[in-house]
Amino acid sequence: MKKLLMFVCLLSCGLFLFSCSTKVTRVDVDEQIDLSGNWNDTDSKLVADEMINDSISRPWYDNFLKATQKNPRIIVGTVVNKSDEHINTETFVNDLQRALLNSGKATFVASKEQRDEIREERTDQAQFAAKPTVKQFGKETGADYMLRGQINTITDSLSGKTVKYYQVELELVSIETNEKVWIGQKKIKKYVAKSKYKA
Amino acid sequence: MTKTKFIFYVCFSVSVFFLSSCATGRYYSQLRTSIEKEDYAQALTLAENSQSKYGDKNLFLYYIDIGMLAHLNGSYEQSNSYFEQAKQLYLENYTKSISAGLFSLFTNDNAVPYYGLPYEAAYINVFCSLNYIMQGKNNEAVVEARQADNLFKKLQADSQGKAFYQDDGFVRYFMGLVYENAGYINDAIISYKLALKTYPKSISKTNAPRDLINSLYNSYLALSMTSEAQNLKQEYPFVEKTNLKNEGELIIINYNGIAPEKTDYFLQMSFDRAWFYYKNAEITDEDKEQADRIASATIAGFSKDVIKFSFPKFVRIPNSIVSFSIKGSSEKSFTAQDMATMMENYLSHYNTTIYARTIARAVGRYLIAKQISNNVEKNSGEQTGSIVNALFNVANSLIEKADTRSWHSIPENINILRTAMNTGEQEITVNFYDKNSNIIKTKNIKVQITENKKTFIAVSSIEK
Repeated sequence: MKKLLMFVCLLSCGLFLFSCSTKVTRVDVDEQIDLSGNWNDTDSKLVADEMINDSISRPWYDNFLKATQKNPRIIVGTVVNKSDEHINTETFVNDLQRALLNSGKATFVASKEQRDEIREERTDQAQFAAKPTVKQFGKETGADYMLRGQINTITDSLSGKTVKYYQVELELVSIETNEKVWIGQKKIKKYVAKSKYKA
Repeated sequence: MTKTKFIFYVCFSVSVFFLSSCATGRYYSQLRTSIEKEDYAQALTLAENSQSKYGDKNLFLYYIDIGMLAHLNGSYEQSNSYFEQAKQLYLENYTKSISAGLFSLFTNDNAVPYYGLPYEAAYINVFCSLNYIMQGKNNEAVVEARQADNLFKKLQADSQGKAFYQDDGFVRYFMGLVYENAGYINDAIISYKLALKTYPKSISKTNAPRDLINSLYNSYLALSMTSEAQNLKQEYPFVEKTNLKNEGELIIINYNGIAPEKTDYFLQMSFDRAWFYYKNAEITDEDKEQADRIASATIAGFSKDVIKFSFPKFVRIPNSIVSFSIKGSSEKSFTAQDMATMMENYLSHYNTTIYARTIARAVGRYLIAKQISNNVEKNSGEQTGSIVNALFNVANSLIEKADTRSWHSIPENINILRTAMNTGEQEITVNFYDKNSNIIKTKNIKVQITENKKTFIAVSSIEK
């Protein structure tokens, strides 16, 4: 009986100590970690890289280069979240910009909000900065294309099993002609299984 | 009986008591007082400082309580952050703990973590979407509508359409408004149609509002689905085309009253050679709870045989307000969801299972205690046997406790009023009525109306 009591006490102490510990580990930013099965940083990077690679390998790019002898200037419009998850589309847009800039095949024009902020700074400079350093108005670069798109999901669940299907659609629209020069699509399918019982 | 065995029995009884007790002190009474005063800032602060009162097993309950209080306080971002944690826990809680389940067989249902109820999960989406709308994030509000739709699909698929709660007319109606507000008219139509289909089957027995049918009619017209619109008009001749020229629509969501409180309704029978004691009581007050439990346990300690059953029961919180209107407007509010009836009917549906489990557990515990006491008496004498018997009786009386956990911060019912208003800033007076149509409360609110757009505001009300 004494042994049993000692065993119960030790077990309780062990459980108590384990339940109170928090462990934090630094991991590589490129390491793939899936916790809930929801859209995460890995999906965002994967989709951005693949879709941008696809877009710049299509005929519109060479056609533009041939016609203008310069890299296209792109502005990122809205990526609408039509999914059933609260996806931060801003980080996805940043991933798209990073992938496109790193390819060296396109340049980016600041977004509407960023432009407003910069214009405000320029106005401020005109009033307060030394004359030789003041930046001029009317020298902004206009974009050739706008990249916009949407993220859709289809979720199917039964008992503890869930299939999540993400479909990301992006399109590149000529700002001058409203023509769509490229439409890209990337699909991700995830299977998430949860057990009904735990110890 | 050896000394070691005796110590073991004492330790067992004491530890079981401590493990099964769930003392919340006067927390819920204080919370209710703050809500009744509509002092949500105070209620929120109280809840923020009281996570320990819920314990690790009831974290889901903590997050839905505090999420709702933050919502009522107008702290919409904070509210969503709490509700997101609740959503995560609800998903994780799909995996049930075997050890906690086994432990509850010997103690009570409070030993099992609070996994959350399906209707609670659905209403998280409702309040989250309103939080997003209040922040002007209409597209994020739509995400909540999609999540609610997924939840209902899952509930229907998991139960093969047999679950008691598997869809909700009000949630569908509200999500239809959310879709329409964000410009997803086709999704709004689907949601309105499902609302119309679900309201008659709703567990709260709430009727489908006329405004829902009118919304469906106008959404059909917006997508030029004329034959569908005509069919609907034939069935519901009162529907009419809404024309908002220089006007916008004001939608007032009224959180009326406080959800009923789940109480402990117990029945204890104590026998001795010379007497029989029977007590049947309802514990409605936290102060009374400890006193009642100690009194019952003391009587149990002096009895030869004790058996006690505890069952949960909802008790309504008094509130005289039944409807509201805007001063100077002919429009009157309608009850879009009777939350209290929904909660009561949900509990009633599972009462048979709860009763069977409670009786089996109490009888099982009684028989085990009797067996052990008799063995001790046989081996170590009558005096030791009596002490062990008394300890078990006390423990059994203290352990038996109904599962009274429920969402405390939601309203008794949700009333809605929809009306067209001139664009720009408007100051309105909201009159609240009792059942005899007497004005018993008024509130002045400033609203900003945008042309051809919906403006949502949430107003709470309670008057004893």
